[in-house]
Amino acid sequence: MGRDCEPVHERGEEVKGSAGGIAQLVTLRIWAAARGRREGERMKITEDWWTVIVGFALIVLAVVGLNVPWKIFSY
Amino acid sequence: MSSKPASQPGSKTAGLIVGLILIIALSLLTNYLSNHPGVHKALEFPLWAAAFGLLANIILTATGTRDFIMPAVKTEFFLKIGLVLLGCSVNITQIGVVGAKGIVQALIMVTCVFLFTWWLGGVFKLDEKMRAVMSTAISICGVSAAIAAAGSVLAGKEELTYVTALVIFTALPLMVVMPYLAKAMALPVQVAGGWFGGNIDTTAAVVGAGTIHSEAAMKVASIVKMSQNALIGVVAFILAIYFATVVERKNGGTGERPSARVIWDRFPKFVIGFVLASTLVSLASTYGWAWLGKPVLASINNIRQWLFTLAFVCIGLEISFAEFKRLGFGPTVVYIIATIFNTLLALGVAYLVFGGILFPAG
Repeated sequence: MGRDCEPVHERGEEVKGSAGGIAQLVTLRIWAAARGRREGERMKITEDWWTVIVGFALIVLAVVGLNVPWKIFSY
Repeated sequence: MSSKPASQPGSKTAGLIVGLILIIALSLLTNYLSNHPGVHKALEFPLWAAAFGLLANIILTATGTRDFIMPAVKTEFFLKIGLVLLGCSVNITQIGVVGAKGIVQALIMVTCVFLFTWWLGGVFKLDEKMRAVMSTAISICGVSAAIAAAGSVLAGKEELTYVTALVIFTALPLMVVMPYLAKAMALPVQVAGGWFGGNIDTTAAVVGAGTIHSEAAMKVASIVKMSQNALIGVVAFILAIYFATVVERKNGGTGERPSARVIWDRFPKFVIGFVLASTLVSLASTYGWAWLGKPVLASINNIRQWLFTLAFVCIGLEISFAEFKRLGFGPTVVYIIATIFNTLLALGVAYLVFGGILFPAG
């Protein structure tokens, strides 16, 4: 596992004492807030965009008439 | 429960495939029962779906195989695609009107509920990080908000897991009870939708409650919830500033200010998809584009119902009974009191905003 995958708060605690490390701590916090703390969480940003991509792909399928599977089990 | 089997790449793929087959099978069963004469009147499809998910969850937990299929339990993924498609059945003007009211309601709710939960957590002497994660989860939108807050305040995995478990445990009962309460109180559709959207923590359960009540309430509830979701980034940013300048400074930090970029990074992108889909269909309606006419929209609605069904099955599957046993007394009490406060306040604010008191009704 690379350094990027280590828990952010642990890295933050490592650098907390040094002067230059404080700025790094703040950067890490922003990185953590923006990207998510956990390794799996980093996927979420991409996954969020995927919901839009898949959603529009399904709209295109409906427009071109590839909607039979949905019609069979319609609500 | 061990997560070992799911952590190996091969078994993760196998779990994804087996889990998807199970979720689709339970969705087909839900669809069959929802359309079965004499059965569909008794329970709406979100309840069937969640009940089947819960039943499968109990069986899988008892046999020790629940972790194996968890890679396929993607509640938010299925739901958000469904919400993008929901944009096709909501006019952009309606999004403007309901969304504007939703933002007013969200601002009132998020501020009051966040501060109340933060204060209550202090009374129960909860750790500041736990208070931040819990307050954000209850006041905005459950799991996603809790994750954003945990990142902002560098909370540990334990706090996040704890709050996530509480969010999931309270969402399901609220999803079931609130629509019936709204009907019993004869709430107008818009007020009911505003209530569900303003109160229930997870977006999936908001859509579920709205669907159980009515199609119109579901649309209002979804738009209100999306207005609330849009505030995640703002709250994450404020929390990061507060912890950097106040809490960390108390503990010997420098208090440097974080960047506002987090507001965009945490913005839920599916909301953009929802608005784009609505704009497209509104333009099609205005200019009479036949390729996006009623038959196509009916088909898109069907796909959307399927995605919602998959999400509702996942709601039942994602409840972890092992986590529930580990929950401590203090945080659980704070969460329950804050949820009751949230429920009552959301009802009052929904009446003010959607009941024709602050703004014209409709």
